[in-house]
Amino acid sequence: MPVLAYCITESGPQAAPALTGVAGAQVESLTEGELRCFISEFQTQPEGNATDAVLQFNRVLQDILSRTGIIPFRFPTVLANESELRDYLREHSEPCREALHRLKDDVQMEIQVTLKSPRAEEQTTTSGREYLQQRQARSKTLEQTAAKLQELTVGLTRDWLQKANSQGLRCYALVKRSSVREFQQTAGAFPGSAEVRIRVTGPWAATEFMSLPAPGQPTQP
Amino acid sequence: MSFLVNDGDSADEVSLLDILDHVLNSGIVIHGRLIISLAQVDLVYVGLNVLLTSVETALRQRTEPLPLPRKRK
Repeated sequence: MPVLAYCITESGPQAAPALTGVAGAQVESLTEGELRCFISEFQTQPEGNATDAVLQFNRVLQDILSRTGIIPFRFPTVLANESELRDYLREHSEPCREALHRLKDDVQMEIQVTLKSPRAEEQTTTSGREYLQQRQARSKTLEQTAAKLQELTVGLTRDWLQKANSQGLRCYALVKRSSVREFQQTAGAFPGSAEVRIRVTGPWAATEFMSLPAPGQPTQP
Repeated sequence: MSFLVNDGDSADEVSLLDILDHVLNSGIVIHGRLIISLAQVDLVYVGLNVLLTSVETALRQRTEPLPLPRKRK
């Protein structure tokens, strides 16, 4: 029977929570060695819409993340049966166990730093040089803001990554689960500025701080 | 500053785009197989090499160099 995979956790003595998953299916867990994987029966002719399915999937992940560290599967990861999933867990048990053990108490908070009017200046540029200078200035503003945020939350973060994207700068803070509220309060006290918009979301699974096996990656000998 | 909490019970506080961005772009990808059904009859297994992702991720990956093909012996 096809199964929809949600996430992997460390297997432990604690009972798996009773959760309702996508399309109302019961979420079950299977244990393979030291790993536990959460799955539900997948309807090959699903009812309902994709948005509901995504929200239900996220709800399951968040519920489990509130208890322990998780490695999520991308939605929708559907396997023909439990046996395929067990094969995967056996093949990749070492990197999964390492990531889960290292990050079991951590979650990922995300901060998107964007300019309030990123296009306004571009429209007034008269030369390529001017355009590049303005881009450089915008990039500097974003990086300075991110640096201030990092400094403000330094006592609460275990690690920090940031990546530029088309909207601006995206920062990833690795935060202990027990420090999430304090992180929210501290980041919330950041004064901001007239030209920069800051958006904080989380907690999420700490995927940016994991080395996840790539699709089709050969099994380690 | 806007602060949006994703606690699963109040998903409306985090936008659907935030959630989509995470569930489609973050996490393990594995090649699976799917049963295609027609008129309640399971017909075939097909290899699933299709990956849902955001446009931004797809464009970023498009710009990354492709791996060189292995030489056949």
